[in-house]
Parts: sequence; C-alpha cells; structure tokens
Amino acid sequence: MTVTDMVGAALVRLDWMVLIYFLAVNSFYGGLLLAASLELNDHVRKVWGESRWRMLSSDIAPSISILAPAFNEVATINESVRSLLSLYYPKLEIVVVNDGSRDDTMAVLTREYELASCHPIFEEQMETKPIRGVYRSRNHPILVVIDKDNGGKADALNAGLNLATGELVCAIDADTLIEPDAMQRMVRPFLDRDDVVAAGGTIRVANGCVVKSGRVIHARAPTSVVAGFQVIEYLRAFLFGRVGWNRLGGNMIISGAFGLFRRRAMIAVGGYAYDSVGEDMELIVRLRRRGHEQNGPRRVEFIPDPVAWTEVPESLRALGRQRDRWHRGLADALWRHRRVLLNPRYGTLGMVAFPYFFS
Amino acid sequence: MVSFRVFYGALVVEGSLITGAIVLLGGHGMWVWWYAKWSRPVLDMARTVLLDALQDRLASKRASVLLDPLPMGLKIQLITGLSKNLYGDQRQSLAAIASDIGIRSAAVSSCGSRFWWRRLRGARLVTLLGGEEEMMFQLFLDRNPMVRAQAAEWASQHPSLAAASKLVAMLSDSSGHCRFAAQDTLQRIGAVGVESILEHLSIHSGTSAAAALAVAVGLRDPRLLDPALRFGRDGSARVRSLAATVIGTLGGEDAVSLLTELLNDADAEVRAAAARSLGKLGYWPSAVSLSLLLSDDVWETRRDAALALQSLDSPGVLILQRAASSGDPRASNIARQVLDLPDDLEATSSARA
Repeated sequence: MTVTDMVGAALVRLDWMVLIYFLAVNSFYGGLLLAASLELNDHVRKVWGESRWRMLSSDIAPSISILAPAFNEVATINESVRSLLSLYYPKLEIVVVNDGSRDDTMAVLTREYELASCHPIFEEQMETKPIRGVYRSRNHPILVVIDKDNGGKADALNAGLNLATGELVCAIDADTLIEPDAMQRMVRPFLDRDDVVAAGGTIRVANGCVVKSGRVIHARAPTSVVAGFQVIEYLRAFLFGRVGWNRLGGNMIISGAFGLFRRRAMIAVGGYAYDSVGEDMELIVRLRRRGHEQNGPRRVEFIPDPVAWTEVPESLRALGRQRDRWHRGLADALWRHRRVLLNPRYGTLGMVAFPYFFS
Repeated sequence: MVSFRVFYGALVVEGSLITGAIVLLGGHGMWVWWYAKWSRPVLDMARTVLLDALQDRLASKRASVLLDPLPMGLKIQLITGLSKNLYGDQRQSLAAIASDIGIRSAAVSSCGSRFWWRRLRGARLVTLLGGEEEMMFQLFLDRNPMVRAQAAEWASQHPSLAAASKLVAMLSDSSGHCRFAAQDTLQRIGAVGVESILEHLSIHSGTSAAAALAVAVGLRDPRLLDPALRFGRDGSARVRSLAATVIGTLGGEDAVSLLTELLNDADAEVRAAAARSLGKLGYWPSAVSLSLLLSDDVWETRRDAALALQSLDSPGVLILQRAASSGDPRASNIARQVLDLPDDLEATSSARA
C-alpha cells in the first residue's frame, strides 16, 4: 500500500469528521455573518444624521495622541504627516517617532515642518533605546518628532507612548493615510462605555487610488491581481469578521495600522512587547486579559466607518512575507497567553475567540 | 462512509445559500445603482429650487409646492444635506420650507414610533428643524440611550431652566453616551444651567456630585464657589479633586486656603489638582507648600507642582532652581525638566529607583 493509498484510506474513514468540521466551521461563519449583518444594520441606523461637528467644538472631547513610528520612510513620510495634520479633531497631538532611519526621513521632516528642538516634560515609564532629540514643529505646534536610536516598531511606539499626553492613543503605521473625520468616529465607543480599552477602524487598500496632499481623493481598484484580491479580503475581514465579532463581544485584533487605545491602560500593562512579532495583537490580548483579571476595562470595539488607507503588497513574495509575519505574530500571541484558552474566567475571549483562532 | 445522499444534500444546501446570497447582494447593488441614477437629477433640480428659495423669500412658497410631491426619503436627504452648511436666517427659512413639505410632521410622527431607530431619526430631524419642546422633553426619558442623548443635543439649541434640570438629571444616566451629551450641552448653554447644577449639588454628595462638578469646571461661575468649597472636604477623592479644579477657576481667599490644605491630601490626584489650581491662580504664598510636593511619591503630582511653581514667576522659579541643585533626586529631576536644564543622569536614575 502506497502513502497515497494510506492517506486516501484514512480520509475515507475520517469523512464524517471532515463533514462535521465543515458543517461546524460553515455554521459558525454563517452565525458570524448574521451577527455582522445585525451589527452593521444597527450601526447605520445609529449614525444616520448624527452631527459630528459637536465633537469638533466640544470642550470635553477626549484628547488623542497619534503615534506614528517611522523607519526609512523618506518616500511617504511627508504625505503621511500631512494627512495627520489635516485630521478634523479638536484635541490632537501627533507624535512621529523616527526610529533610527538610515535615509533622509529626519531631514525631510525637519525641512518640511520647521522642526525646533524642545524639551517636553515626560516620565519615561517604559525603557526604550536612547533618544537623540525631541523636536516640535514651528508651523504646526501639535506635531512632535522623536529622533531615537533604532529599536524596532515596539520600541518606537513605547517611546511615543512615554511622551504622549493624550487620554487616548492612536497607533498607526507611518504609511497609513487616515480619513479626515476618522478620529471623530473612532472616539465614539470610548464615550459610550467606560469599559472600552481599545477600538479599531476599517482599513482599505490604497493601491491604485489617487492620493493628493495626504488624502485619498479618488478611490480606485488596484491594477495588480494580488492587490485586487486583498481588497476583497480586507472588506471581508473588516465588514464581516470584525463587525461580527463585535456583536459576539470577542474582538481580539486591532490592526496595528489603525487602532485607538486608552493610554493609561497601555502604560499599566507595560506598553508594547519588544520580543513579539505581532506586537499589536499581543497588546490587545494583554489588555483584555488584565481587564478580566483586575475587573477593569476590557472591551475591544470595532467601528466600521472610520477609514484608514494603506498600501498592500503587490507581489506574491512580499505578500507571503507579510502573511508569514502575521501568522507568526498570531501564533506567538496565542502561545504567550495560552492560559486564556477555554478558561471561563476570561469570558468570550477565552471560551470563543481563543478556540476560534487556535483552530 | 458518508452516503452520497448526505454529501449531495450538504452541497445543495451550500449551493442554495451561496446562490441566494449572490442574488440578494446583486439585487441590492442593482437597486442602489438604479436609485442613485434616478435620484441624482431630481436632487440637483430640487437643490436649485431650494437654494433659489433661500435667496428670495417670495420664492419659498413656490419651492414648497414644487418639492412637496417628492418621496419623503429624498426630501429628507435634500434638507439634511443643505442644513449642514446654513446658519441664521437661511437655516430658519429652510426649516420653514421643511415644515411646509411635511418633514416636520413626519419627524414628530417618527418620535412616537415603537422602533428606537425611527425615534432616533425623528429626534435628529426635530433637532435640525427646531421646536417641539413638549415632545423632546418626553424623549429625555426614552428607553434607548441614543434617543435620550439626541434629546440632550436638541437642548443645546433650546436652552431653558426646564431643559437644564433634565440635563443635570442625565449626568447620572447609565449610558456613557448620554452622560457625555448632557455634559457637553450643559457646557454649551453656560449660565442657564448653573441654577440646576447648584440645586443638584445641594441635594447630592459623593460620587453623585462628581459629574455636576466636572461640568462646573468649564462654567467658571462665581455661584459655584460655595458648593465647591464644601465638596473640597468630601469623602471621595475624585470629588475633592474636581472641587479643587473648580476652585482653581474661581479663586478667592477661602479658595486658596482650602487648596493649600489639599496639597497635603492623602490622594495624589487631589494633591495634583490643588497644585494645578494654585498655579493657575498665581498664589505665590503657596510656593513653599508647593515645593514640598517636588518630592512627592507620584510623578504626576511632582510635575504639576513644578509647573505650578514655574507659573508663580520669580518666587516659584527661585524654588525650582534651588531644587534643581538640591540633593533630593526626585525634586532635582523634575525641577531640571521644568527649567529645561541638562539632565543630571545620576539624579535621573536615583529618581527612577
């Protein structure tokens, strides 16, 4: 009997298990789709006719610090910072962290935004690589740039977190373009509930779109097949997967490219982990876990309407590397926090979300 | 082995679901495309008629006659789209036309619906058009938090004592969204809300008073000083902290006396709030008391004390300069940061330890 015959025979014997698994997974996806439909329907009804202008003029709107780590981003840093400066939000601080770039990222920033050295008062709550200097823009005072030695994305984010003064912190990738009214929408869950510790928004594919002055002015489908498939994938992941998990109370992922967090909660858990490949997902699990263990805020919400745009890989090789990194990050986060799996103490996180991602 | 019947059955079910989903999605997409194509020229024409009417009041009756036959959904889309960009007289003219073409009556009718999203839609339309006080007051007690919050938003354009008392009651709502809407509106209506806040503070104490004190911070009304002084000795640290912040916006002899006392409070946030307030009031005799906080256990308190000293000009800056070269690593570190002096690495690492 050959290996093929043996495998075939085993599969025949396991056919009921295959069918049951197929039915179980598809039924779960069907349930998730139903949950997503209900959630999206409710959301559309909630936002119909809402006046977001009130947030722009509100004295009590929570302050937001945007952290944008940058490493060798000379080609995109100007557009990214311009898009951040054009955000419609009243209490905004933008912290760009130049993580030891070897190109002219810092020179571009200094020239375009007239950076001047400053010495803000902050407490270094998380240790990071040495900071060479802190600068504030003369023509855009809300922009602060940290120039530091290279230490990786987590290290850069932690450096930004040390300096940030906002009640909420939005961590983005340096090449992410955020829609101007995204912050007004993203802040909603933090106003609605005290137990929200993080919120995420929809990410769309910028490949093929017309971008001007840091804004996507004309959304177009990408010409590359690989990027085109990712457009569908992102729509499915965000508007089906994450919205559905919202309804089930079990969102475990906030995209590292676009997430809003309570700053105090992030500092309380020690910020981003240096030794994790998927530091964004690992942070979310740690935040939720701490929330359960200390009966504190632990809810992670996904808001479908704030939008950020990002470039996706256009070649299979680059896509493969990206997905390899994502899955290693997922595996790392799940393994680190394996105690959560099937542990009723952690509610939906342990009993639903973890088994789903493990499977 | 699974029988073919089961296998085909599963395939048929799966195939039916997929086909149904494609038909639904495709059908919905076609409908959206057709509706957008049909409504675009209609909306453009209606918008032109409406804009002409807003420029020339005599044309408004004609506009109402022309727009009335349109479907209600389009009329609402037209009015809500234009209203965002109009203010003053033009906004009122728009509201009058909206009433003439039946939008107001549709909105009022929606406010009585048993579906929360219809009530919310009606409340938002009424907020846009104004008026309907009696009905909107009822919505303050609606079972859905979004609707209650919308009623609070409506009140910002209709400030009154009655509305203010409902807003103050909403400060202790179970929904965060409602509490935010109430707090935001009370800040916007300013002095109109002070009486209601005073009444609330005279009845409540402890954490029930916290939300009202948070609003009082932004109002800066001298009538709030007495209750703030009273709450400065409350059992709740959060309330004392808020009271200290309110006092810092008002000032006075009793105020600075209490604030100086609160610099020794057991809670770090209260100490920090007292320090910030004294700095804001520029009360330089508190400089010595503030200097003691430069060695506080909590960094935020040390920071706020140092910044307060800095805002006291010469007396405060002198104390900071002395602290910067003192042997106390915590005081030295924070003083150096505030004075923008070079780091003393030894002091920095000792302060962290």
